[in-house]
Amino acid sequence: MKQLLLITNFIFLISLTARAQRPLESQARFDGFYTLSLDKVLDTIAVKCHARIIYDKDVVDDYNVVDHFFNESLKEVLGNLCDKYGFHYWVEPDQTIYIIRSPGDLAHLKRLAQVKKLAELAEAEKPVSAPVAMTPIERYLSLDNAANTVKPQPPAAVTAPTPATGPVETVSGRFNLSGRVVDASNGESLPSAIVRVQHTSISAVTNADGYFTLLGVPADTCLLDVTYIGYQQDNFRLTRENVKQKITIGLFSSINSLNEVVISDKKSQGVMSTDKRRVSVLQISPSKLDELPNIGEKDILRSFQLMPGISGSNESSSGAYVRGGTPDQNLVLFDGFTVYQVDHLYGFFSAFNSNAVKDVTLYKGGFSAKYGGRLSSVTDIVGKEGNSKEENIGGDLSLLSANIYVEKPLNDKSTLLLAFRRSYQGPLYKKIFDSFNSSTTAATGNNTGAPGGRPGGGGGGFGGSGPTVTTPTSSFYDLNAKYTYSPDEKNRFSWSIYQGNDNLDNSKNITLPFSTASSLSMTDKTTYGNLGSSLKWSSQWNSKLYSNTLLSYSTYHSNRDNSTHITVQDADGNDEDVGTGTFEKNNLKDFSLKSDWEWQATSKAKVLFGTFASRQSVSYEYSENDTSKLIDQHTKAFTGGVYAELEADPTDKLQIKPGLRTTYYDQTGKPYLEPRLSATYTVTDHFTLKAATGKFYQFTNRVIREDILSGSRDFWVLSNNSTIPVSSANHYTAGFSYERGQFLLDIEGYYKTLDGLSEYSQRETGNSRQGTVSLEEHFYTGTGYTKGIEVLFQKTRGKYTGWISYTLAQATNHFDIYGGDFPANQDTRHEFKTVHLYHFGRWSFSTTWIFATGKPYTAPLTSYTVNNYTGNSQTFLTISAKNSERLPSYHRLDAAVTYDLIKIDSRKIGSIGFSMFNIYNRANIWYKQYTIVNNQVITSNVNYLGFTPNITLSLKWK
Amino acid sequence: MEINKIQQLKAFLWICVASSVCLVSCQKTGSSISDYQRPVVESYLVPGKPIQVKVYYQKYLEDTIQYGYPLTALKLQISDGINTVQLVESKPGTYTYADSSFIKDKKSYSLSFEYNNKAISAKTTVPDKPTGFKQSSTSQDIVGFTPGSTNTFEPVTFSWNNTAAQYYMIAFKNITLNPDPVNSGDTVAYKDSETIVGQVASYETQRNNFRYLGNYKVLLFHINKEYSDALTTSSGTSLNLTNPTTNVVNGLGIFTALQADTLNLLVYQ
Repeated sequence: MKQLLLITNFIFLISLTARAQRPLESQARFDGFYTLSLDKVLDTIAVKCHARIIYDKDVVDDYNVVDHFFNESLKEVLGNLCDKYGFHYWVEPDQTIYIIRSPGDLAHLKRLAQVKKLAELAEAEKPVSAPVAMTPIERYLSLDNAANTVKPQPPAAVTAPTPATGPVETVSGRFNLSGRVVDASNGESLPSAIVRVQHTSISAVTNADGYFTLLGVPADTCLLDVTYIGYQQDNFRLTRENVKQKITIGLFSSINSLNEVVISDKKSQGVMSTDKRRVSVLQISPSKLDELPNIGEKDILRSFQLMPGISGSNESSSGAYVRGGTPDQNLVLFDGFTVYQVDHLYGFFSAFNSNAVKDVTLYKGGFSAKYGGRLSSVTDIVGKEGNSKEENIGGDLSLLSANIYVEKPLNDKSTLLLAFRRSYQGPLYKKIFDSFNSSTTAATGNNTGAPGGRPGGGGGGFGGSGPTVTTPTSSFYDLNAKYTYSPDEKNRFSWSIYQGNDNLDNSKNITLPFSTASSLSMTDKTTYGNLGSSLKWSSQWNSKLYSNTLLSYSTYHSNRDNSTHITVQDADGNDEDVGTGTFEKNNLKDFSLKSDWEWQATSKAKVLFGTFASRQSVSYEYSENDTSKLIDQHTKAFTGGVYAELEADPTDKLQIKPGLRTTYYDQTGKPYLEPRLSATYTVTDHFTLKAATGKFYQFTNRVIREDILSGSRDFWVLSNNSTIPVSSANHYTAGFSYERGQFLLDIEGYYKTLDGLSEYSQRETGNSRQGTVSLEEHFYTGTGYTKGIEVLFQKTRGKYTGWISYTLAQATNHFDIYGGDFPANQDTRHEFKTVHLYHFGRWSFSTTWIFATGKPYTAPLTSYTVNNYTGNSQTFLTISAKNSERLPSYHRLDAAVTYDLIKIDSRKIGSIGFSMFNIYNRANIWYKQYTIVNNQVITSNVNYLGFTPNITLSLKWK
Repeated sequence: MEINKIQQLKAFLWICVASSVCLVSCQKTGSSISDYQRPVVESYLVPGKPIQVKVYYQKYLEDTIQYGYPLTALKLQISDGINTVQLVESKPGTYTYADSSFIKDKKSYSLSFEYNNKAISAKTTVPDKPTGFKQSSTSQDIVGFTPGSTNTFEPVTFSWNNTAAQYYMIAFKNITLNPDPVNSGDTVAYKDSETIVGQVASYETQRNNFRYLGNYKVLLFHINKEYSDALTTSSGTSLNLTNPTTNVVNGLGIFTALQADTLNLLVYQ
């Protein structure tokens, strides 16, 4: 019923989108006979109904109107004219009317109008007037410049009226300029956009709130180039007037004809790439994600897996295996707070709703001193603030989940965004759930790992006609909410909440056919999730100083109830409950405060500094039969520290970023010093050298149980002074990138040493039948290293885009308990990925192919049976050296076709996507399972997903 | 021209094939052969009893036989540090030494033989006889399990001295001729059972210790840690793959000594 409601709601939503265009409000009536050129007729209409009509004079010029109107409305007149001459009209919320030939024209008109407007302003040397007092249409039409079409600036698209503070002029006549880059259509700030003064090396990258500062701008007639992934590159003309203000630059999101690349490596920003001097950084634009093939959801974290250095053969983990690291070594920040559980449904989907995400940056290594607490990498996710201009609603419906979001400006100073996603037990959900849970029945010895088929994803072994099996539902959901309040141009406050939960229920209720026992309920319920919230205050103190202070709270929980209850009914009808099983609870609470500051000291030096403190508490309980707690741990820890980093450009070609971070960890009572350094050297415009190094510490570890069939698969623990050491890593990265025309070649090599790694193993001793069970926990400590070379060859622009990536890597661990060196679980020698995207009008086609060397595993080699003293036989397996065997290679072909639903104003309002996962149905092995049946050891493969089609409908109102 | 093109295409295909071979080739790194050739030893030394050592081959995973094939024609010897005795192969893979006085209290013994040019050896020490072994009752009432009834099972407690945290094992041996099963209709043949109780000093019986009624001998074995290590970890169906513990050097299995004290228990219904 719920699903039905959800679908009904969605259909309602779709119907809403039909109201895409705004109705014309003018009450003007038209009478009379017209024999004029079309442009003149339009001018006349504009004057008569006090509307602004924007058109391309060149196009409209060719037509002469000979027509008679009899008391007709504006709508009728425009409709009539447009029909006759093959035009369309489009009405903006401010009642500006655009006359266009095709949807693509509108963005073109707006852009030209913008440039025109700037030119005009420069000419007039007048301050920008408020949008309401726009110049009448005639004025624009009379301007006869290179661009014939002009229009009043869309509100806030270019310049926001701010009290003029005046540019800070330096002695040389140069001045400093600060401003903000936003999405022109919804006012959303754009982080990591690049603003560059044309023909100079002066550039800046916008911060998390879209602010930037350019120091030493040579003249107030310069042109700024502004680029941001997924958006059309734009220019912004400085004038004597607008430099005195805090400028706001609006970018339009790209449409397909512009063929922006979906994922961008450091250098894929066309001409702007040399300014993005960052080492091992990947950035993604969620708005373009729907073009990539997916399993069921646009997936932010999974898309990164198509890039070199990030393993793409882990279907059961959305977490990033970066450069031989494990997902728990990857710091995931959402609006500043740490997220501990990054995936849904056994790892098949990332826990982040792409509709609530604005920007994602992944630092593969050698990252800034601003980030810490993880050994390997950082994924920094910035949530959307919500449309500050108008209310919007949208959503997606796929075979897996339904997703809805609302964004709304509450007043001119605050916005609200709400996004909710919930899975429903559609065919896809069921397939994944079953494929996972079929493994639990492998003990019957006939499992092939093939998904589907069984009722409730399991329950094999109950033959015959007797028992009736019922299974409850399981699902996941996540919720994002963000409230942003900007009392003035200098301060912004935002409150962000994220909650995600998985409720995986593989329980079974079995009604037994015989009379004495009434029912058998086998509970196998795993619930896990996160709740996180952050309160952020960012402030641009002056053009040189910016701060970002964040108070955050994040919790993670993972509970597993794996028990059996038999309800037995006696002759009197009384129920007796007999229960056995194991219960696990893992909780983590993280309360943090941090303050990050940026000080643009000179045009050549920027200082980043800040402080952080967090209080974490972790508990882990493992109990049996509800009474005896085998493990009961509660740890609390405090971490706090400071960092500073200098971004210096000693020459035009060299950028160097030395940094230092120090963390005090109260469990060990020691300070941990982390020096960091990264540098880039621009040899030529096309060729950049880069290198990074640093020391990294990690205090919170997620340990993965070897035996994934019994109990929850992983849990978080805090380092202590005894069994779990504080782990550390050293990174050494060097590489270059070469970009010419539409092509980019990026090669990086890395070497990473790891120390204080923990592996966990539980061993039950005693005999559970005899009630003498005790659980021994073993934390094994070791070291490791990873090394590799990553090659990315990318075509960044054009109708066809895509890339080929290859990673040659090695990840080796050294644990004395396992006899020294062995390949780490995530070790993959070769990984080859190709991604092809082709745009054809509203259609986009994409394919991805992934090849990866099989993962290492430990296998049984032989078995043997001995009798114990009393003569009962016991069988044992002898095991290969740790991870000495390899699974067969992993490979997979995916493809997707997406059709964009584009409104007449060229804005994309949605898409219909059909994607196929694992097209040639490759049986990629997830893991192998061994069972002793009748003295024989049966090996069964548990496979990843086979061929899985999916269809996704995405819509938004605006 | 056309031929040229075909040749180019061929060359291209070869390159594709060669490169994919390169990609795929680095595969399996097998485990050393010697792992398969470790013999499996099974021997329990009890003072005052003749020695029996069984030696098996390991089994392949696909094998359906219960025990590995017997390893024959070996020259096994056991030494107590002073005297070394040769064992005789009494039946294939089973090596015995008939003199029951060779195994004595508190002495250490080492087994050695050569197989496949490797010296296989194992050592053990006879532990002390358990002391202070007593029981809370000499009889055990197995209350019939009827659904809904509230009757409870009253366990018999066995206790012994264990100040040094030594390892113990309890075995139940039914000595009644043709005993009756607890649940009438239970067709599973009677078998002695044992429980490694660990480093404790008492044990309470449980209902499922007894499938059959009658007179039992309750044997408390003082065992060595090697017994506990080798036989408590069973790598049955789990993915928790760890090598089984053994005290046999270059081999597998168990070579250990143990000593028992015995009490009687009547199990009735």
